[in-house]
Amino acid sequence: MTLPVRAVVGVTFRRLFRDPGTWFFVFVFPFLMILLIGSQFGGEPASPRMAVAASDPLAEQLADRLGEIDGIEVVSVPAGRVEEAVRSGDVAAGLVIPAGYGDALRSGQMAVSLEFITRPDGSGVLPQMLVFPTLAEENQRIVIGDFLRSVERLDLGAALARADAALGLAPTLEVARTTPGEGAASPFSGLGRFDLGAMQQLLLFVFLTALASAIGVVESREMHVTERMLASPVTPAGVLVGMGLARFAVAVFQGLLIMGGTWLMFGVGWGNPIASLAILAVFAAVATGAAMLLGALGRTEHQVTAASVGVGLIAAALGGSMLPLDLMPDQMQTVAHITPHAWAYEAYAAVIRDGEGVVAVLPQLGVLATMAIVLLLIGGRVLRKHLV
Amino acid sequence: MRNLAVIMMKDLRQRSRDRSILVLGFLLPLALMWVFSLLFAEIDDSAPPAVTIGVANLEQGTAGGACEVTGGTCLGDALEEVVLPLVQARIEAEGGSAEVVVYDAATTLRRDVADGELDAGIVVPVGTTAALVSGEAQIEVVTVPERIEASAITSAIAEQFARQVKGQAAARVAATSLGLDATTTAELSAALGQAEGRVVVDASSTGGDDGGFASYLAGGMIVFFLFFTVGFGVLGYIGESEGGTMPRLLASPVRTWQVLGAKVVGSLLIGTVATAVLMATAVPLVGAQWGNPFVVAVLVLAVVVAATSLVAVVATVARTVEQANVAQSTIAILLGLLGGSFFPIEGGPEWIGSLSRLTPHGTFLDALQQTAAGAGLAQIRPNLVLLLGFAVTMVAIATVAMRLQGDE
Repeated sequence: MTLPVRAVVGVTFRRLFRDPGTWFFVFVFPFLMILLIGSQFGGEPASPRMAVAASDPLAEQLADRLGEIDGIEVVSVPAGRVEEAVRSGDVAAGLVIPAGYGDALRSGQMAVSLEFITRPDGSGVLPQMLVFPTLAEENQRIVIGDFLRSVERLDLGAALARADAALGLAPTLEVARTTPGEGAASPFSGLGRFDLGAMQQLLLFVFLTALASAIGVVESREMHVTERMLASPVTPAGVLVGMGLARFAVAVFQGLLIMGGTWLMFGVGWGNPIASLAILAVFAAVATGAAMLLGALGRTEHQVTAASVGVGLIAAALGGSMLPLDLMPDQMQTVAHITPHAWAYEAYAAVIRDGEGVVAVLPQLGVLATMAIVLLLIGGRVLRKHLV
Repeated sequence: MRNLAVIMMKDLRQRSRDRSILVLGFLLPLALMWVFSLLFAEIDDSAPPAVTIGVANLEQGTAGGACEVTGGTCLGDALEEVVLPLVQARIEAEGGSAEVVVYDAATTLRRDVADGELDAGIVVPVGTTAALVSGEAQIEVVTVPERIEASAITSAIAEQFARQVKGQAAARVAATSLGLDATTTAELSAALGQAEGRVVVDASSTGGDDGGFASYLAGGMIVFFLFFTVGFGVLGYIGESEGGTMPRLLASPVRTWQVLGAKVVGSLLIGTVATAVLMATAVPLVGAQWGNPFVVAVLVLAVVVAATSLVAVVATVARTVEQANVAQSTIAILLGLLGGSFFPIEGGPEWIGSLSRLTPHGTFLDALQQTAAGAGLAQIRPNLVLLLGFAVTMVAIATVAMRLQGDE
């Protein structure tokens, strides 16, 4: 780096860090992110909790069987409190087995209804997948039990015990899930919302806060700092590179903090370190380019604030940082690729989910690098017009 | 009173010239909402599925003797010839489409799933039925994680099939141990074949019948933007200090409280209108159902008051417009994050969840969930109290701050 450009970088850093806001966003904010992202999307997701309300022996039998399912923790809650427990986030799902369950079964009633309650935010998908097979088996137990009751004149409890014994002896047909070319798939690898949540939020916030730094670009124009920089032996290009480099460094630093912190403290997985760093760096470059362009185009700080929040969030939503890319309609998945988020998402998905390395994501890195270069070139041209 | 109105109108006119209010308060959130509507277009649980499933029944042609353990019908044949056609018929009856493609070899099926020719597939290896006895019977569901709907449907088919196999086997075990004759055993088998109706699961969401992830996100974004929108009224207070219009205003027969009051009322107005418009638009765009309009209106007013009070603190404490902007953006993002505007805060240690629900955003979203499920004013009273308590606290802080600054 030539001396003048280094000086520009230095000036930009100084101006950035004279603003208390920058201190907050670079040093304090990432820790909040680490805490929230880590606790919500932390590596080993704690088994989801499910509240079960059971008020008679047969219902309790069902509750016990649910409690034996691997991967879910069952807590006993009175029927009237189940919904609140779900809504408040205390449990991920709730099952209310109606009072008089046993009597209903004994009397041969059809369609005894169990109420399964979840939140609208998708946290109930995993509990549902874990629990529904057992609930379906309940039907079988009851049918076999009923049959045994009528044949052997047993009461329902004893008949169900015999049914359970028979089911225990019966051979099981295992179902293996595989992905072509890769062998066994994790049973829940389709739950995009959970396993890539940390990455989605990282992309959203690195981009958002990078865009917010565009305010400084507008400011330095308003305060004629850039004019004065140009008065020194540095080219317009040098000024742009200097301003951009400083912001780039800040964005990468933030991202590194978040990645490192969530990994260290919460066990969030980021895959191959070199690959995930490379993706972060190129993504941060795109964010910086966008910020420079925004700063060049904006006329007032209000405008830039509005634009950075709006564009930042819209790009994040389009690019799969709110609703996972996999869950979007096919057409929208294609459209999503106008955002850097979508490309970074794909790259991270390959690295985190499939354990790929840098080589495998070179295409995505290439696209992101191109985006960064294009944005920086355009931003540079616009800014130069203002400066010169 | 008239002074208040005059200043407020002047303010609104000034701000609208900047166009930021329009953009940040309306256009951008609307655009975001529109993007949501596109993204969530297919996540309609009631929309019938459309899938192409492959089946490689490698047991086809196996001599009947090998499949004695299941009464003579090989598992693969049962799956291909009975189960899948039934599933196909059921999906088509619901208005969806299900195509079943038969394969001779597992490798071809896997390749077609990888290529996208098939959405998913099931492989029944040779000797599966015979292996039941030794406990090593396994069928394979071939899926690709990105095709979530097809993966879910195909897995469900396979798992239900496995359950039925087990149920039938249990029936045979029970029949043998009780010495039942063939007819009775057959009756039991038949009854098991229809064993889906004794206990049914009625799934419901705390967010009401149509509360979905889309509504949650929409609500989160609306309240997030609110905390930016209300800033435009109050931050003008500082703008005027900087621009030198304040001394002139105060020199005129206008009291200080009237100047501030005008800003506050302006903010309340802008915030309420913006939020109301956005929430109304979310209904057709993402299918949001917020609940009883009157109750929701009260909730919106409460959160707008809370948001305005917060920005009042910023306006009082900050020295320059720039400081105020940064502080306000920072607080808005902080509270939005903590309150669950970007992603729900539910896992992790309890204190995080509690803290989240103390924020205006968190308590607003919590109340929205309840109203969507039909709650009335009584049920959301704690949330309303929290929001107004927040506002009162903020006003107290602002007042203290103003006193400390003295009359400048």
